[in-house]
Amino acid sequence: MAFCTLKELRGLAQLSVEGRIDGMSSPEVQQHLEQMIRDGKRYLLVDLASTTFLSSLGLRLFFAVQKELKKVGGELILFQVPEKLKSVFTVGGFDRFFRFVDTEQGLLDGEFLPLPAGPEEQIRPDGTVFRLREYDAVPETLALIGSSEKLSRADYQPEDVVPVPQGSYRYGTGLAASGEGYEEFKSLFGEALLLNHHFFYYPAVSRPAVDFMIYSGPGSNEEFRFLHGFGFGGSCRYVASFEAGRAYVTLDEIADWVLALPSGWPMAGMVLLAESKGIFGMNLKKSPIRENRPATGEEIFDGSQFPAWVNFPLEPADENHIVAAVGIACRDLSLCRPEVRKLFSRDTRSHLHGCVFQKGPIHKNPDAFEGELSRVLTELNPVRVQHLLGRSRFSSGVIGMIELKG
Amino acid sequence: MPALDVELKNDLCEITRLLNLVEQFAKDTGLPDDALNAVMLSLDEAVTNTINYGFPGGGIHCIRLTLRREPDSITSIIEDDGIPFNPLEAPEADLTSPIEDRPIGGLGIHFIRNYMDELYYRREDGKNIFTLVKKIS
Repeated sequence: MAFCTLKELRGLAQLSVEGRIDGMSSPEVQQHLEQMIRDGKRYLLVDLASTTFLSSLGLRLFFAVQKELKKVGGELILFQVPEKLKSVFTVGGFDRFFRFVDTEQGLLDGEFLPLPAGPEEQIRPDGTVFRLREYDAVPETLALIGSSEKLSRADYQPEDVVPVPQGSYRYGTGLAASGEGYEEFKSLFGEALLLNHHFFYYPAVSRPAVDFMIYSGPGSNEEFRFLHGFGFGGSCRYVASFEAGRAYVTLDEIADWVLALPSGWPMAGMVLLAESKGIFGMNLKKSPIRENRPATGEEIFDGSQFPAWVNFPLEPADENHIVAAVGIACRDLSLCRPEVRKLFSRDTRSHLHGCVFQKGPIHKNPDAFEGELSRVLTELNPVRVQHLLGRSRFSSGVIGMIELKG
Repeated sequence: MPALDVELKNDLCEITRLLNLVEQFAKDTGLPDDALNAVMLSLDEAVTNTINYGFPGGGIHCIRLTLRREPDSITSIIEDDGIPFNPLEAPEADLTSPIEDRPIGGLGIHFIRNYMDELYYRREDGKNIFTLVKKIS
């Protein structure tokens, strides 16, 4: 039996375990540690002062958590470990994977404590903390691909397809497919995402039994087939990590914060990597080509057609999943080109597509952003690509910002 | 000499009862904390292993545990009617590989060898009899 107590010690999340950590209690200890990681904590202090016994199962559990945390720039720190338990780590050969700290002073000396708020840290009224890094970068131009004119009538034809060779845009979002001949891909157009030249799209087929994703890596010589969308290049001028002050922060709030940065950009390219607390994602269920056009002549967003065409979220989904998203946010649409204005639905100030990956933690140090993006894009399993509604929720994450000329 | 004789079923839930009994026995016989830790770790590993791998045919089986406290040692004897398994012949765990590719597992017998002072195994009347001795300094 074990009793677990959660508290905070000098800004670090701490789990104290009283009693035995054995086969019976280690699932509970594991649940607490996983919840702490899901809550965005990366440095976990495990206090074993009142632990009377640690079996090899407990040892394996700590080791597994340590492995996971090391991947995302975190650490499990062992605090106040009695000698007889320390020997379990030593005898097992696991002592070298952990730092043992005996006192609070040791925490200070070991530089485990969160850094004091610097000029780059901003705390929002709701308690959300943003940590901002600035890099050298120049403004980029937003390129428009194709046109969304024919979307609502589902009237796309072969001549509307815009070939986008791999490598054209580092970042992009739109409605796209891949393949050689129109006949081959015409019924597959769906929400698409280009991120660091990785291309993902979610074919718009409404058969849940064959839910699937299509992916191409940066090395391929493919041409992607866009109906409409936008793309941009460049590198991030700002990268910020964020931690929600309450249970979550919404995509709208993140976009507002980006647009309120002192730089005052008219438009920002956004690259988001975050842990979901419930995505409101939207996607087409049918490819919007002339062959699929409603016979009655109604638009696909009309009430009578909408349910058949659009998967619209009523409830948040994919909680705790990792999401990588690309899109734009605009401060004042009246300053934009008319064709850019069309990229935004009514009353929205951002337009992002996100790829939902498997569950897990991410590395949130802004300086490690590129490496972490690459890890997520190449190592984790993608689930789907969706248009993210502004009320999508995130607990924490990292956001890269690229200045775009309006 | 104080002794404890207990029968456990081949069910992992029994490990909690086993550890409770060993803790109580240690309290009753004034066993030093280090020795208690060594005995708990070793019995947890050995009995868990027997429950997990000793009875591939399934069914309910009995694992008998005897603890004997002597002035300068504590002896544990585990008897089961599972498939023949000599823990003394189990290969050593590899503790040197880097964190990324270290397998989880294979540690049980390593712990027992390190925490115990004498180990004996014999197969008798269709039973595994594993004896573990911890010296008390």
